[in-house]
Amino acid sequence: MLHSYTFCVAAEARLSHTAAMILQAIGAGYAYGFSLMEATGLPSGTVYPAMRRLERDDLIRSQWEKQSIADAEQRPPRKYYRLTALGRATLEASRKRYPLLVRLVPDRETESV
Amino acid sequence: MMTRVYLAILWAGARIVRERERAEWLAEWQTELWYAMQGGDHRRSMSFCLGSLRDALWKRRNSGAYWREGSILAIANGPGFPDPPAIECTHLLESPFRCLALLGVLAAVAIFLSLVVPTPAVFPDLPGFPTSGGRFFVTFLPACAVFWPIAAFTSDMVGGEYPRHRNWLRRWCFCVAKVVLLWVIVAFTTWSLVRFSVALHIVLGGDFMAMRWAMMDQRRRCPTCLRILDKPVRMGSRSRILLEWSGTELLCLRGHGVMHVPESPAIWFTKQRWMSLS
Repeated sequence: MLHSYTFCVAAEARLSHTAAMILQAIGAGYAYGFSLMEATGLPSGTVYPAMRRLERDDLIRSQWEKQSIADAEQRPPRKYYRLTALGRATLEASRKRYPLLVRLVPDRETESV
Repeated sequence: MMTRVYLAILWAGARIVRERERAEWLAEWQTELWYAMQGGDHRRSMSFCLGSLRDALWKRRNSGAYWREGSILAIANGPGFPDPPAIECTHLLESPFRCLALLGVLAAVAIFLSLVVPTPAVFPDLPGFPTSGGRFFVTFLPACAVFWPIAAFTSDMVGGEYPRHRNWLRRWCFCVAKVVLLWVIVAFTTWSLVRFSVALHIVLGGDFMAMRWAMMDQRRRCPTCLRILDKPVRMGSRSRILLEWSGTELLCLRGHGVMHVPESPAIWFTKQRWMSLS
C-alpha cells in the first residue's frame, strides 16, 4: 500500500503537462492514437512517444481491437489504450496540479452534449 | 502516389525500431495512417508520417534491457516471472559500428598527420629509405605481406568452430573493413613517424600488434550481431582435463549464444566453439 502510494506520488511528480493532457484524453474516452491527436491538438511525434512512456510506467495499457469488429465497420483494427488503476490515481493527482486540464480535454460525452 | 511516400516513411521508421517490436509498431502506424488520410489533407498526413520517425527513435532508445531481446531467457518473458536486472556491456567497442567509427576517425587523423608533417630531403638515420610516399608504400606493402599472415596465424582467428550462419558475409565484411582501416592507420602513421627517424622495425612491430588485435577482436565477437561477448565465466579445473571440460564461457548479451574457449586444447576440444541459442 505504501509502495503503491509512493510510486503514484513519484509518477505524478514527473508527469509533464503534455503527458497529463494525453492521460486526461485517454481518461476522457479518446482511446486510440489518432483520436488522441485530434483531442489534444498535439503532433504525432509528441503523442506517440508520450504514450509509450505512459505505457512503460504502467499508467496506461494497450490492446488491439478484434479483427471481426474492425471488419464489420470496414476499417483497420485500432490499438486501444486505457488507464490502469495507477493511471487513474495519477490522473486525479494531475488534475489537481493542472486545474485547466479538464477544460482543455473535455470528456467525450460532455463534448457531444 | 502520396500513399507510397507515406508508406515509405513508415517503412524507414520501422527500420529504426528493433526487430522484435517492428511488426507491431508498423501495424499500429499503418492503421493510424488510414485515419490520418481520411481528411484528404496531404500536408497533415505528411506531418503525421514524419512524426513516426521521432516515435521510432524513442522506441529504439527505450526498447528495454538486452535480456528481452534474445531467446536465451525467453522463458523469463512469461507472466509473473520476476524481471532480472538489466545486463549492460561497458566495453568501449562493444558495437561493431562504434568500432569501425573509431578506427575510421583514427585513420582520418593518421592521413591528416601524414599530410601535415613536412617531408625531409633525406632520412639521416635510414640510409636508402625511400623519401617519396609512393615508393614508401611500395616498400611497406611487402612488409605487410610478411607480417600479417604471421599475425593471423599466431592469433588463430580462423581456428574457431562456428556453425554455418546466415550472417557469415556480414562478419567477414566487418573483418575486412577493420583490417583495411588498420592498414591505413598503420601505413600513414608509419609514414609520419619515419620522418622523425623512428626506427622502422618498431613501427612494423606496431603493425604486427595491430593485426593481431584485429584478429583477437574478431574472435571475441558474436557471429550473429558482431557485438563483443562479455560476462566471462570460468568453468572446470585444469587438473581435471580428462574428466571435464575446463575453460571460459563468454556470453552474447543479446542472447544469441555462448562461446566456449578451452583453457588448454584437448583432442575433443581443440578450438573455441560457438553454441548458437537463437
